[in-house]
Amino acid sequence: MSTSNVDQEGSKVCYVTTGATAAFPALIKAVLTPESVRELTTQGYTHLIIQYGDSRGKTVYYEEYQRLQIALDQEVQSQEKGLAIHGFDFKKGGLSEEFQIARETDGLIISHAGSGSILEALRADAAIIVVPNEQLLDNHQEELAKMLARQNYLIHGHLESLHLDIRRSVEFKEKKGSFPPITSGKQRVTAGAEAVLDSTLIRE
Amino acid sequence: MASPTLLFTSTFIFTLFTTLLVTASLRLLALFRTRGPRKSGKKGDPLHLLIVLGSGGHTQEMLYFLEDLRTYKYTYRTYVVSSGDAFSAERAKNFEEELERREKEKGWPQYQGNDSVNIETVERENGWPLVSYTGPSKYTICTVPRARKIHQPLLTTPFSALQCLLGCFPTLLGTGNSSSKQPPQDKLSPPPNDIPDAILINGPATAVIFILASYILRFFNIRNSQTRRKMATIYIESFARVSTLSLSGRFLEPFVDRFLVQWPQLAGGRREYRGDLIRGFGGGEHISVI
Repeated sequence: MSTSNVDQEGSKVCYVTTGATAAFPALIKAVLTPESVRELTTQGYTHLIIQYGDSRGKTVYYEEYQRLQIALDQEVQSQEKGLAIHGFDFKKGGLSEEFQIARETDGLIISHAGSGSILEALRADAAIIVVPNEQLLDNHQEELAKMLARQNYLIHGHLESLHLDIRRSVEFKEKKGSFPPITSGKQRVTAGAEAVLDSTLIRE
Repeated sequence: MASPTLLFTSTFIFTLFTTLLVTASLRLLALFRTRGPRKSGKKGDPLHLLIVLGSGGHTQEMLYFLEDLRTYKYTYRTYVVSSGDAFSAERAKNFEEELERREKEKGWPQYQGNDSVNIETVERENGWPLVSYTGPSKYTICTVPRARKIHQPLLTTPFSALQCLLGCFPTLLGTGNSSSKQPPQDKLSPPPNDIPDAILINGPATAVIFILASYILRFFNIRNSQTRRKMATIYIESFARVSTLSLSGRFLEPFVDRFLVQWPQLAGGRREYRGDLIRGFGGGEHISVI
């Protein structure tokens, strides 16, 4: 399924990514609750695009999608506002284009706490809610999300109250605006690979 | 008079065993004492990097870390991916294309053998000729068997790890290049079938196996790898590790030549914190430096 050809004019896109390594069905469920979807439509989102991962993620996605349809059928209002929901499994080359679109449409990224997705979102300068997977034994994801949230890089989200985190994203975007963006030239000095490699390998 | 059965006495076996043990320990000690910057090349020497792409976030972090690489210094790159990880192979290819595009944009002539660029007349930066060592002949992507699959039972891990180890040797020796295309041989490109000058890793299991393989090759000084100071090992702990090291990190800390962390609270001992390693993100307090 094509994901990056969203017509940006008048769009507001929310991307959800569950990562490439481990399935995270709980995040899909949390996103496809009536509360979360209602919050997104209230904020004027037009697209909700979900990277659900493997077959397990796909099953959960379709189940939750149908459940959501039934739940929302009783609410004519939210249907009229028209939030288009799409799902896809993976994208080989990564989601940097999608994250760019999220930033350009004043959108949002809701992500698992994998370092790859977090870095990609930070570098796209997009607003991101990071939801750690509590089922993973190692709690370092939780710690990372907390540390980065404390420094205003991102929102530390929770499965059981995701709609509130989505609400908070409006305020977060304003705060984030005062942050030196990556492209402002005010960035910190980056050591990068070359300094490390040169000092390890090259005799002067 | 020595009896012909001397070779089979327990004393002899014991002596042999002790001698071997002592020799091996001394050798290991020697390897250990040379940890640190290995400085295999002098300025202007072509250098060969071997980059182990873990998977998912590991791969992405590694490629972000390397994004400002200048190919005139690091003229040949070998990327290693685990079997079944199609994402990392794709990422590596995209990364190389991006390197090529960027250096082309800077106007650096692409090096394609001895006659393609006149090194004497080309523009220089800090004494280095500004030449782009990019394109399909300047890198290769190798696949090794995965050391441990996610959720693989611990009992069978030694077998898959051994399989992975056996897959590491041809990769390190450059005889396992997946591309049949042989790059042009010339004095400015390291022979791609030579041992790499540095191994870059950031976990997980496969990276550990690579370090083990490099130790074995250096132990026996295969192809003079130890004498020529090849295979400097550089470990980069994930930025996701805020206050505790990963399992691979904890295990590898004493063995690698450089051990880099991305959060100041992890620094100390052999663990170096050098500020931001990845552009646009820093683990420490966010301070603007112009």
